[in-house]
Amino acid sequence: MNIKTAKKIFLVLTSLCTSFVFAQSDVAVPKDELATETVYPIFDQASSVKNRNVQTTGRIDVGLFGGLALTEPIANTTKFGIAGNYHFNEYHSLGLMFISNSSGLSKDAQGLRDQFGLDFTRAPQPVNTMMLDYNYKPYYGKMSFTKTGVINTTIYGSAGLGMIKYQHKSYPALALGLGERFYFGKSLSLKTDLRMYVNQAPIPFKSPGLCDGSDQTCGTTLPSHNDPIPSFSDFKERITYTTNLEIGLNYLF
Amino acid sequence: MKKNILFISTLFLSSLLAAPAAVSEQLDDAEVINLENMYQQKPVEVRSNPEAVPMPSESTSTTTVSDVEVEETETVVVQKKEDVKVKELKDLSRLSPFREVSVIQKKYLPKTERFQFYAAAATTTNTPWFLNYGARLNLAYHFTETLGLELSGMFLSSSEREVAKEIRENNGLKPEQFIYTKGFYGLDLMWSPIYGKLSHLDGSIVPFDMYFSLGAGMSNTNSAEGNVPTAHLGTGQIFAITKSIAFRWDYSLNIFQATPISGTGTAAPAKGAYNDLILSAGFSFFFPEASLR
Repeated sequence: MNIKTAKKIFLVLTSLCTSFVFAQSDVAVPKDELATETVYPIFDQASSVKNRNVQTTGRIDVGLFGGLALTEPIANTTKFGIAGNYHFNEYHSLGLMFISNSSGLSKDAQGLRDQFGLDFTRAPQPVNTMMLDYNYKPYYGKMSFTKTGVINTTIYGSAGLGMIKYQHKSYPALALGLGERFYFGKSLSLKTDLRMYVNQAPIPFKSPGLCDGSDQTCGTTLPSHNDPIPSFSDFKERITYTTNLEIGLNYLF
Repeated sequence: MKKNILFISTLFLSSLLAAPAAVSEQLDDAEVINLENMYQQKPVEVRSNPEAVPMPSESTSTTTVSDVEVEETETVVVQKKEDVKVKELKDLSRLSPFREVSVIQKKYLPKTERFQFYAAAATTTNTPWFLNYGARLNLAYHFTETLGLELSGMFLSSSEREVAKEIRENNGLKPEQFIYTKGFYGLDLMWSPIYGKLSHLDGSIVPFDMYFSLGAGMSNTNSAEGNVPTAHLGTGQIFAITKSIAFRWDYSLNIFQATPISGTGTAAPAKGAYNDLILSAGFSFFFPEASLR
C-alpha cells in the first residue's frame, strides 16, 4: 500500500465518520420538550410604530369643545372653549385654551331658590378661564370598529396652569387630567378630557345675604327673609376642587 | 488529486442530504409548513348523521369528501363543523379544503366563552355635595368576542364635601335633601365592537377592547323611595396585561327618578330625574384559561 492509497482510505473514512455524526444529530426529542407556542422576537431597539398614520410633530391643532363642571354646586355647569396646541414631537405638546362659562345657576341652585328662597346670583360666579395646557402623549394606537374601519387614538395626560376670572376677581388655577383622542382621518379628531380644576374661589354660602324674600323661613336667624344684597368682596374664599368633563373636535394643521 | 477531492466531496454531500430526511419524520413543526400536502394525502373521513342533517340519498356510514357530489359537499361540510373539533394544530388537516377557512387570529386576550371578573375602585364624578367612594364588582360572561352579559354590583360610601357643611352651617339647610347613591346592582348587555392596539412610547404594545354596555338595575339612594329602578349606560376600555389579566376603566351613567326627603322649606320636594356619572378603574380577571392561542 503506497502513501496515495493510504491517504484516500483515510479521507473516505473521515467523510463517512462525518456523515455518521450528522445522522446522530437526528436524535428523537420527546414531544413535550418541543416548543408549543410561538413567541415574538425581542429586539434591542424595538419600534412598534413603523408608519405613523397621524403625525403631529411640528403641527398645530385647533379645537372647539364643550364642557360640564360636574361637581359645581351653584354656578351654571356648562362651558364652551377653544384651544390651540403646538406639538413639539409625538409625545409633547403645549397649548393655550380659553373657556367661557355659561351664565346663570346650576340645577341644584335653582332648586334652592325655588324651595328655600336662596338667591345665589348674589354670589360671584366664574366668567372664564385662560390656561396654558401641556399634554404628554405616551400612548398611540389604532383600533378597529367592527372590523370595518380603523381609527387612530392617543391617550394622554394633561396639566394646565392659568387664571379663572370671577365677576369681581381673578384667581390662579391648576388643572390636571386624562384625555383620549379619536382620529377620523389624519387631521380631524374627537377629543375627550376629564380634568380636575384646583383653584381659590369665593364661597357662595354667605349668611346673611342670600335670602331674596320669597320664603318667609329663609335664613338661620329670623327675621332674615329679605337680606340686603352683599358686595362680592364680602364672600369668603377657599380652595375648591371641580371635576370637568370636556368633549370637542380638533383639527391638525 | 482532483479526482480525490471530487470523490470526497460527493461522499460528504451525500451524508448531508441524508440528515434532513430523518429530521422531517421527527418534527411536528413540519406539519405547519406542509398543511396543504396533508389535505391531499389524507382523504377526510366524515361520519354521516342522518338525524342531524338530512342526506340526499344514501346513508353510508363512512365516506370521503372526494366521493361526495358537489351538491352534497356543503351539507357534509356543515355537518363536519359539528363533528370535527380542532384541538391541536394537526387537526386542521381534517377540515375540508377550500370550504372552511380557519383563521387563526392572534388576539392576545380572547374573551369568547370566558368569564370576566372585574374588581375596581369607584367614585361618582357629578355629586357636588358629597364624596362617594366605593368598590365595584362585576361578573361577565362573553358569548362571543363582541357580545356578553354582565352582572354588576357597586357599593359607595358618602361623606359631606365642604359645600355641604357650609350650606348647613351658613344657611340652615340639610344637605341630605340632595339625592346621592349608596349602591347599585344590575344586569347589562356588553357590546365590544372595538378592538385595538396601543403603543407605549413606540415600544411595548398594549392590546385593548372598547365596549359599550346597556342595562338596568336598582339604585340604593337616600331618597324617600330608597331603592329605585335605574337605567344604565356605560363605556370603557380593557387593556390586556396578560392573557388572563387586564386593566379596565369604566364610565357609567345611571338614570333614575327619585323624591328627595322633605326638608325645612315651605314647598314639598317633588319627584325628579337624577343621574350619576360613575367612574371606576381596576383589574379584570378572565377565566378559564384561553386555549389555542
